[in-house]
Amino acid sequence: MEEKKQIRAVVWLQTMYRKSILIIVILLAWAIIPLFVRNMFLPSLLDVLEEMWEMILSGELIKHLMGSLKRAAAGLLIAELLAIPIGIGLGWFPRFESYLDPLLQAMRNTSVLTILPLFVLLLGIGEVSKVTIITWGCFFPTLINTIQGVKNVDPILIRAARSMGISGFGLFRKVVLPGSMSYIIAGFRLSASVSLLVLVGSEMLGADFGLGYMILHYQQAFLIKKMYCGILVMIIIGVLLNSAIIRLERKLTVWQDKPDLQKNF
Amino acid sequence: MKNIIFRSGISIVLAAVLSAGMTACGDSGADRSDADAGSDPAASEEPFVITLPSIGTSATNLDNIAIGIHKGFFEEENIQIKDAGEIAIPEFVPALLSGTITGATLMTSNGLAAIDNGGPIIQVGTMSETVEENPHMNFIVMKDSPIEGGGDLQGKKIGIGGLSGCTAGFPLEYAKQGGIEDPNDDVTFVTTPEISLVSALEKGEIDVVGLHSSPEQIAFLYPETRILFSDYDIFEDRGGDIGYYFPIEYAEENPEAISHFLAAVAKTQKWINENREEALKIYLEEINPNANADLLRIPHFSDDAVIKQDHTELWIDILGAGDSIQPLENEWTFDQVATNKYNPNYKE
Repeated sequence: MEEKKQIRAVVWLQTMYRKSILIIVILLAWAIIPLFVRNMFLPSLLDVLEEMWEMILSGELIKHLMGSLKRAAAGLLIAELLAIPIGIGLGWFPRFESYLDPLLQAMRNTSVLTILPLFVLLLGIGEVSKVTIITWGCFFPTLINTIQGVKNVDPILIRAARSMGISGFGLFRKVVLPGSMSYIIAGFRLSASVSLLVLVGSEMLGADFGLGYMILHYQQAFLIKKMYCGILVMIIIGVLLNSAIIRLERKLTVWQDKPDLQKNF
Repeated sequence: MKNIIFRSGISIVLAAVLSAGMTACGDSGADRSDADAGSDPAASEEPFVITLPSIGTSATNLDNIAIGIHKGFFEEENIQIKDAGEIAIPEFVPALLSGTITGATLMTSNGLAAIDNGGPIIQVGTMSETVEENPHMNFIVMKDSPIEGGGDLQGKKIGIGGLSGCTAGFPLEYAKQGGIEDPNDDVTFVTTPEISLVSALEKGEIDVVGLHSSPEQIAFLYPETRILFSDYDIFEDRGGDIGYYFPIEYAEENPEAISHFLAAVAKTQKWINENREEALKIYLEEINPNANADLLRIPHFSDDAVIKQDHTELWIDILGAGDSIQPLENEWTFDQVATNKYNPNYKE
């Protein structure tokens, strides 16, 4: 028993080592190099962390962080609430999809940040334009993936379920939705990344708080350490969000067989 | 277990060695203490090449450099201006320090902030300055706005094109003069391109807008607004200078180039001040036909490009006060951040 615990601890340490060693090396380099090589645009990590702590204590960082998280969450939620049902509908009814597909492709391939000024001109500089542009950016990855997920449900499962006399709604609930879940989650994961990217861009136009506003503001004011604080926080949020979604995916698709890729090597 | 700890330890040691090795090859950066001056380049027939950003590309500001090139003032001074292409103003300092450009124009407050953060640059001349009839910035409100003075800025939103010592510094000082003790907490700044600002003002999304347009342009373009105050109302002619900045190392190694450059810009600037209509015509017809005459601003240029000490010291005092939008971490004197020694028009 003791030996088993030891083995598990060793495996865990090995995993942690593999996952963290490169990041540790980079962070160490960032902490040490600027102490010797003076460059106004590359302060030491230690100085940045010190500045971040002061910003946390003063409440400034929390104010910008919460403002950004609310915007991103609102935009992402609205996008998912729209994209998933629409994607399921379009995936299940190909005729409707054939009408909408060219328009959707044109909209999807228009760079979000290109049309950001248009949103500001039409919707003003308030929260509506920011949440709308985030919704726009997050909508398409989930939509496209959901459509693909529905289309790629195993036809054998559908035929088998129908042969057992399942109702339409039952087919959707017990076969189509679970079968497309991994695609939907993948789309959600992409949308979540996009939400942070677009958030920063939207906050650089017409905002008075938020991480994007903070990064731009401090860049313009040459307060470089504070600018890096904003950038670091964005990175941390991105990593935490991605981890959370991976855990969610594991919970929602626990019944699925996962391929063991290492067997092939 | 021992293997893991050993390998982790080796990795950390390697990282430290790698870092030390990279620092040994690194540049120690410019020092602001007096350094031995580089030898002046001997006068030669080869022109001094100076690379500057965004020549003649602005659709909203008359570019004096483009006018000077067109009039031959730079050629007279054996200066060849090379265009580095379009560079956004916030990227001027990085471009300067990376060598992409040789010189740049910066608002005095921004130049000070860059120097305070370790930028090895120095102001060597003045491009434009504030005069009563043509201030650096005007702050406008809707004609029916209840805001009449600095004290009315409490809790208000001010829209500006970008956050800097001038765009934020002017209204904060105006608020202080109006009796608001700590305007940093009581006034909010919203940044968005100037083109969106007046629209936001009309919709009531912001209360005051700061523009770099002249009073005549504001009256013509935005007749539903009125000017609340300008920087001249707060600081007279001291607050609106835009200066020429060069890396200290370049200036010390190329004093002749800087002198000839300043002589050329002074000639250009004096000519523009005396021939504003003709300068506008040249710019619109020959340099930038895409520029809109209604939007194009001609600032008041410094006739001799000389830096006025009290103008620089005003910003040292404002930013050094600790409650500014660009607080200085260090104390500075005029001689550490600016010099007129390269300017042939300067008389002590």
